[in-house]
Amino acid sequence: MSRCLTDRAMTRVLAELGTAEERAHLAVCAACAARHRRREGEMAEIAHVLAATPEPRARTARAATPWIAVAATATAVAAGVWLSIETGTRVETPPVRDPRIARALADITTALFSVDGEPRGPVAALEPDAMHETGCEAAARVAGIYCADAAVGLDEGTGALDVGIGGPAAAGEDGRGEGA
Amino acid sequence: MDAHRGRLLRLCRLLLRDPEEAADVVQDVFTKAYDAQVQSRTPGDWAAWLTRVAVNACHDRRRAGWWRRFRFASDRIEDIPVAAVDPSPVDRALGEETRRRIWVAFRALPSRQREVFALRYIEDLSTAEVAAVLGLHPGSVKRHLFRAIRHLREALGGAP
Repeated sequence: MSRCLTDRAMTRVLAELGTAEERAHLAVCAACAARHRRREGEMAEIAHVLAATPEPRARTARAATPWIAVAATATAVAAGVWLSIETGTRVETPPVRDPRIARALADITTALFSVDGEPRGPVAALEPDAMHETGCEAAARVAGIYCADAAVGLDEGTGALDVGIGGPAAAGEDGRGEGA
Repeated sequence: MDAHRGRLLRLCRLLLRDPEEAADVVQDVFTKAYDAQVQSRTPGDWAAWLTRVAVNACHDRRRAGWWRRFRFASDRIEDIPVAAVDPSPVDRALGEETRRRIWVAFRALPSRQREVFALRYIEDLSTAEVAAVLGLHPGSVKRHLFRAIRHLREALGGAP
């Protein structure tokens, strides 16, 4: 065998897996024999380090622990979400049957979630006319929802909402109520 | 028996990593040796017998205690190795970084390759003896050794 041994062949010889040809080449090629001796020296160095020097403290083992915990938690959460989607176990809110409550919810939705003065989604379909009323009208209507017999009016002096108990008849002609 | 104690302790430390656990294993090995002697089951070659029992005990420990070692990995100050006061010429030539890379590469080896490498190059056993200790075919020992050498050389920046 005239060609010098590759690195892989050299490692094979070191592990006693070399062929007879490779071993014969080592016996006649000074360059390959020198490489072989150098590798044997490296193995001896490694063996010396392992046998005679203390093992350095592992620097990454502890640092990896929190990441393992975070990864495990994230995996568990993802699995839970996937499972809930797969099994269809969603939280269903029952439909609102009482029209007064539905209107109240619509007003709240309008006030809280509208970005341009218009309600969003199914709220818009509830009562189109109600969406264009003034703030005072809406307030009066909301008060009427919670107390059907309430007389609703605005105090002219303060502009504050004045709600009287006793039904529409109890309110004065000017809408101020009994106390006005 | 005392002559084998240091050798087995070094071997078990290599295979187990934890010095305390290695000392426990060596203690168990000598207990088994005592039992064998009492029961007149004296092996022909004590060195080979002790090595085989120690390697098997380390194998059992690794298999049984992986979670405990992971959970309670020691950080105590007394477990941090103290640097040698007077390093040998070889140690001085090698340098700290090279030693660290050798240890990291050795720990990254699969357990079987680690066992084969330790027995072959540190315990200076022949391939046939390693095969006898580990209960493997000599061809398997050579293949494990080939892979171990390749990985270690790669880790150290040499060509595989």
